[in-house]
Amino acid sequence: MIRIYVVMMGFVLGLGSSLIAQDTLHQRTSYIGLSLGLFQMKVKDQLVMPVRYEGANLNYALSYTRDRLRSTQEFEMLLSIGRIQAEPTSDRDFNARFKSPTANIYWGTIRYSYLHEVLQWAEQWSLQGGLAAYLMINARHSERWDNSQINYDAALVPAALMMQIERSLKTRRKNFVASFQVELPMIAYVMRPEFSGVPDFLDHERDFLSQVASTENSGWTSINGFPRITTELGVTLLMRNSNRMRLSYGWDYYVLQQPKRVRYASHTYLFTLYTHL
Amino acid sequence: MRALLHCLFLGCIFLTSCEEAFFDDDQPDDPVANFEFLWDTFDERYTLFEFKEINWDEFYSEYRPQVSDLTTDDELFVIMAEMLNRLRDGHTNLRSPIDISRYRPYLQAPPNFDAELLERSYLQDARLTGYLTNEIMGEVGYIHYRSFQLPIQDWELDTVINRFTRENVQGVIIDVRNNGGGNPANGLKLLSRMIDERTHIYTSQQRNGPASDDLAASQDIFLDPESDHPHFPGQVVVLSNRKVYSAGSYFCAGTKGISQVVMVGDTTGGGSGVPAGFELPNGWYCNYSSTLGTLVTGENFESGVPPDVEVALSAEDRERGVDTILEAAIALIKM
Repeated sequence: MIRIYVVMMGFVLGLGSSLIAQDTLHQRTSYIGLSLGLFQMKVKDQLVMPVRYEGANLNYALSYTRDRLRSTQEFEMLLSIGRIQAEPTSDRDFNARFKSPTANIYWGTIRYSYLHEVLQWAEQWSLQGGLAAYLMINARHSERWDNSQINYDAALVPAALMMQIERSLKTRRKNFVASFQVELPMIAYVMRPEFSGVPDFLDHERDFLSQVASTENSGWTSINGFPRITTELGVTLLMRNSNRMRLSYGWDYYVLQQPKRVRYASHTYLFTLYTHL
Repeated sequence: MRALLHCLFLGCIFLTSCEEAFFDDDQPDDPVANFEFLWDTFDERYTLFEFKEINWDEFYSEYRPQVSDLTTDDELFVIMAEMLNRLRDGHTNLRSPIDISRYRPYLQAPPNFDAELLERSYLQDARLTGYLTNEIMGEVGYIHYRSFQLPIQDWELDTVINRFTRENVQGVIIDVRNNGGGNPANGLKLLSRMIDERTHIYTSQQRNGPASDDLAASQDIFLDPESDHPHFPGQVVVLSNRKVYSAGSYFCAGTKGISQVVMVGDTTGGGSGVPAGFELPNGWYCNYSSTLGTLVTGENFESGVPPDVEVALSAEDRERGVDTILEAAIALIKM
């Protein structure tokens, strides 16, 4: 993980002497992006699991990007479905009948972001600022949790602050843009289960979906109630046919306190192919 | 500017590499830590200490000294299971690869049900419509429903009720004896065929915080009549015994809100607290009661829903192949 940062940092800070700067990223155009990658998640929700669950699964994304000379808008949907498991499974004898501590994960985000150039210097450097809005759902499902088998944290974020630094790079034949992005949510509607972790199924007039957003532990909060940091390092190759390829590494970390503390971290390694429209 | 960027990047590397430090330490997985975690979690979440008049701290004083770092998994399970069974709660159980602890209140009560007798003496020609065993006994319709885990389909219920209506029965017996529970929604399907107007059937209250008095507001649960499907004709009598538990007790509790339904037999086994669960650091899983459930009359039915007419299956009747409780219900309908 640190190696990836160091290598990408090399690109971004221009330590390679053969690289020549040239800004060719922001033109008036739009792209559809398709992504495939690896999504490594760690989560510990003390409502049902006192130990950390971890797992690596595939990650998929679909995006629409609209570039202008000084701004970029992007709408994207990200999805990962797979399994995570608790560490004790490795050194304890769980027989086949007793379900070992594993869970299915359903992680998804629908996100819109707007970035505008704030500063440009030395031709190849650009600093952008902007806002993002998104809905993130992170659900875990395990049959071994009986009535508590759906465990989730979700957040509707209408305003997250973003900052991005870009550096344009050019080798003899290829043009690249390296970027680093940081995002912090300012306000969020957080959704968490009831204190018991069990949906109110005695009241047949309240279905599960209607309860997700209306438990006692759901509500509006500021950065204090939903401290989250999302970073992304990426390198984009600008191809001659106006398409693009991008390799990126994202790190995401957040904490929620209600009804019991949740700590979450993920590392995403994503390859994206952008098709020019 | 470049120095600032370096700082920013180095800061991010630092954050990422310190991710481990941001996570709380995992609970240690040793016998003492597992016991402490179990006791603490019950202390924070279990809803029925007060109702059951249990001093949980005394349990700690009694059982904690029995656990040490040398305690084996087998021994730990036995200690934990014994402590939990003293809560006298069928919804509290500890699940491990070794065993599953469970409390069975019906073992100390008369069975009041004999499936063999029922089949030989009353149900030789019974129909099996879905999971509803049904028969017409003279002028009385009879249904035995053995588990609320078995789904009832509207079509099946329509078929049985239409049969009873065609045969002009005076009333219907719904026998849920030995029904250990399952999905309360199946009970609601039956109850919705017994009412003509929106009816308060029971009340529920959730614990919403770690303090013993952290309880959400009581929530009255209402049921609307099933208007597009046929209703049970005539008087409805529900048969119960001590093995009726959880969703079975909720079904019987619901009948207390319906004046035209009579419950006959023995008190149910209870189980009014909705089971919720959590894992222990060693991967075992524990369920506990997370709510308070009360009848429309206000009584907590954790210890059981009492019948309107108490009848026991007598040994003499059993010898003669007669189900005393069923006969009492038939007589009640024909009265």
